[in-house]
Amino acid sequence: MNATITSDVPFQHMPKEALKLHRLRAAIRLGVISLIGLAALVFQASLVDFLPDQQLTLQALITFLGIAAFIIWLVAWPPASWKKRCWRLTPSALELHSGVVFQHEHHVPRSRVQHTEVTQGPLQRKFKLATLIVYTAGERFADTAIAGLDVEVARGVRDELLKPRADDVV
Amino acid sequence: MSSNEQPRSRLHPLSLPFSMLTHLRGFAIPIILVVAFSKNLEWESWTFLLLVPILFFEAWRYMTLRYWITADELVVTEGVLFREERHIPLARIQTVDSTQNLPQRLLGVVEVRVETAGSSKPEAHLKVLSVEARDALRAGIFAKSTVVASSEHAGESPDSTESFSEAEHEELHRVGPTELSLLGLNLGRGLALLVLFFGLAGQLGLFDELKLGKGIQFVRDAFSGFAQNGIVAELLFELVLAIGLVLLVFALSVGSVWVRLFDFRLERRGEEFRTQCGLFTRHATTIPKGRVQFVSIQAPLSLRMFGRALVKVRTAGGRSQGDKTSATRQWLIPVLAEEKVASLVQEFVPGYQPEDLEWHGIAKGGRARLVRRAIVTALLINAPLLLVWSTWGRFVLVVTLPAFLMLLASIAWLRASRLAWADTGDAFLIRDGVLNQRIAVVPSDRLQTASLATNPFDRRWKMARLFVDTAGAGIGHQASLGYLARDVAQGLCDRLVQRAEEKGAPPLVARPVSGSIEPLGS
Repeated sequence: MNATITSDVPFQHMPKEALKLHRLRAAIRLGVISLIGLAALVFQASLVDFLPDQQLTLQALITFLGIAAFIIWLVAWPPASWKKRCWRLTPSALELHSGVVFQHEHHVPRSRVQHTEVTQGPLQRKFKLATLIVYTAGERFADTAIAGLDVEVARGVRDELLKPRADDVV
Repeated sequence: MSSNEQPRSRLHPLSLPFSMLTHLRGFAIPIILVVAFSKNLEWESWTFLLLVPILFFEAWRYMTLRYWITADELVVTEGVLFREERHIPLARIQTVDSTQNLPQRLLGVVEVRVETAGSSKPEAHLKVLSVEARDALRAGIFAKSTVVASSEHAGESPDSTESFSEAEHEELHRVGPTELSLLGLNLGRGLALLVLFFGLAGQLGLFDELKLGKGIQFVRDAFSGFAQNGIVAELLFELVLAIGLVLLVFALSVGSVWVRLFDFRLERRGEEFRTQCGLFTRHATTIPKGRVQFVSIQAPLSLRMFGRALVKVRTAGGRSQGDKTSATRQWLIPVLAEEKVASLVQEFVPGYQPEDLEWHGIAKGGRARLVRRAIVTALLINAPLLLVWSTWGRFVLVVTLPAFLMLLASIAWLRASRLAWADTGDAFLIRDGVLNQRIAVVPSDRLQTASLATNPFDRRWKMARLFVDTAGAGIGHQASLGYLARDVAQGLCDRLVQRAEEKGAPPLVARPVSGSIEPLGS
């Protein structure tokens, strides 16, 4: 950590389970949205007496196009987002890369960590995953969340970040 | 905690009436509605009974609240059965704010808020204390300062400033009435107020034909009597109306600035800074030296024309908005001569030497990107006019499109030269703005996180945007710089993080607390 500015610590990607969870979440979201769309369509069809056929066809077209777009999103987005997300813990900072279209690289100096949080949602628990949130005293980027870490890894990183340090100024 | 260091103090006896007044103000609109819209006040007046439990609550609070200062903490207790005891480490206190509205000034009492970092509410809200008690509290908190003098009394009569005989006290800056008026000549603020004014006037029915309409008609008639030619009269009338409106805008703006910032003064007392301002409600803030997180130097065109600038300083205290005190949390030095800026900023960021700064510009293709973006923006703004494909629409387009293109493109061109960063080792600076020129000064040891962001265009041109976050950043002035060459941004990011780490945690930061929440299921 002396002279070298960029550290040689390799970046780590999220476990495969994170991708599975990502897909599952997208599928659930897709299911809910399609249900709403279909319900709307059925409702429209029940009013068929009052609506011109053309409008009904248009409605159906929009619904199916929407569902198609979501299916593409379901297939394409999770792996892209998963591939872009990686992190590393260098001697000086925690770094997180994320984002597909708008990409972000967050650097949190170790000494700036105020407190940390490891959370697990019900789905994450199924896949033995967790989210590590690192809080700083900052304003705009006050919390940096690494979602989809292996539970043990998340706890390990947390413990590493909270290690008492000799140069810690209170 | 033992309390033998200082006797336990309680609130001033006037606390009760003042707290009740605040609650009554909350009831003001219902009261007006009840009085105005009900013929028999029988059951409606029962609503006032709601105030009785509040009265009891406030009385209880007044009777039970105690505060005192131990060796290293400010302790506030409330309640007897359900006793709440708050311990605020003195080292964590960011600011001590005190406000006095007109009645409070007459009665010599003051409302005090003690802020620490991180909490959205003031850590201790003491309403109200006597001025002497406030001074004692302030002196106790910032123990280094021995000054126990009433600054508020000085604020009421400018002559009594001389009564500060303490050697430590030094007035750094003071804003006179003329300079304040300069600040008020800000068109944007005036326009915002005008909208508010008309909104309010509309609500109150001032626009009913009886009042404003008749008034305008009267002036119009006067003009038509004055000039024989009808068109000339009409034009004159419009001109007078326009001038009147502009004057109203400026009057409102200057007025609001006066009310808020009248007799602004910034003082240094030993290890702390103190500001006070306000025409009716006096507001005083005390900030310990070394608590400053972020400094923003701004020179909007309206001030720059007169060789003036303003400086905004942020501490980590009270990060929430929506509170009426939020305006004061962003600590403002409203107007000062441009040549005084450097010496003032040095007070907050030691080692700030503007003449030694080495500014580095943005990436090579940055200007081209800025100009291209301006052209696209101009086209988009004018796009709706394309739909109006009449002679009129085309005529307007012929005028507005070149105008927008010229204006936006030239601003973009100039902005490309303004955009720059500088690194002194002690501080990182970002320069931005053409009309509203701004410089963000981030002390190196105050940096919290550094981030890089890229959008598809950035990646196409191998550029990136750098964000620098501090505890006081945020509202108003964001410390970020786009159009940097990718490798430059990366190098800066790494360097800033590395330096922040080497400089260690600033005094604001406590030892990391293991505040992790374990999942229930595992």
